Amino acid sequence: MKWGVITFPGSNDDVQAAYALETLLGESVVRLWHKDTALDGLDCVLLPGGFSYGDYLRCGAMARFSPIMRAVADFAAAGRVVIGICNGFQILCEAGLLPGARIRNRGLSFLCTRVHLRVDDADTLFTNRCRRGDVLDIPIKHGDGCYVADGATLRRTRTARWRRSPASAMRVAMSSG
Amino acid sequence: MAWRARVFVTPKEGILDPQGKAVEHSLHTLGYPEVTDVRIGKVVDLHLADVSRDSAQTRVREMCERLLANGVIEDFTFTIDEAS
Repeated sequence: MKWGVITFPGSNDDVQAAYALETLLGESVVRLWHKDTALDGLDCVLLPGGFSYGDYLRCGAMARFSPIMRAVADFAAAGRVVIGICNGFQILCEAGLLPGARIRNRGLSFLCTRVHLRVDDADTLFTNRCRRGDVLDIPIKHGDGCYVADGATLRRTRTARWRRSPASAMRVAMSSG
Repeated sequence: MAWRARVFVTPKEGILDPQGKAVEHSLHTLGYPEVTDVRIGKVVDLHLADVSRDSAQTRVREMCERLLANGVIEDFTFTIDEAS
């Protein structure tokens, strides 16, 4: 697969994301700058973690207006896979590509730890190599990791159909920092 | 005309405000048990030039909706006064 990894001003997990894809998984990676405007030939686009625009105003609020985000919206609208990790997830929420928003952690602390995630559905894009009931050990690090959305949105995102759509990036991304 | 717009952005009713909770707790510790709720928001001051009041009103509302507040988690209000 050919991946695009976008760097926004203030992204700081872009190098690690590209390293994980290229060196650990042997995938082909194109590094993109937030002022790029084309995503031609890519299979998947990844928005990495970090502190785009210094987290000013709200996390991801400014990055959503970067020139590349128009191409990301088109890419997603075409049914292709967009992954947001941490700040990348916040940018996707701010851009309206994912429902809901993330606010400050309940305890106000920045969390850098590991969490256990149980696989409830092994028929999604992210979990199809797992078995139902598997427990994954996932590292997290974030200050604004508390996901909020209204009741109707939460109910919608809990359906199997939604989980199996490309938009389910959310469930993994929101948990991985 | 020149105007000063003051935008207030606050967490929506029902949205958890951990900062507000922490401050509420501190105020109780300091001896203010009468405080029953604290919500923390932001104030954004904007200076605008060469627009009519009506236009300023419309455009500031648009700025709030597009960038200054996130409608999923925040409400906003604003005032517009003539700049001195």
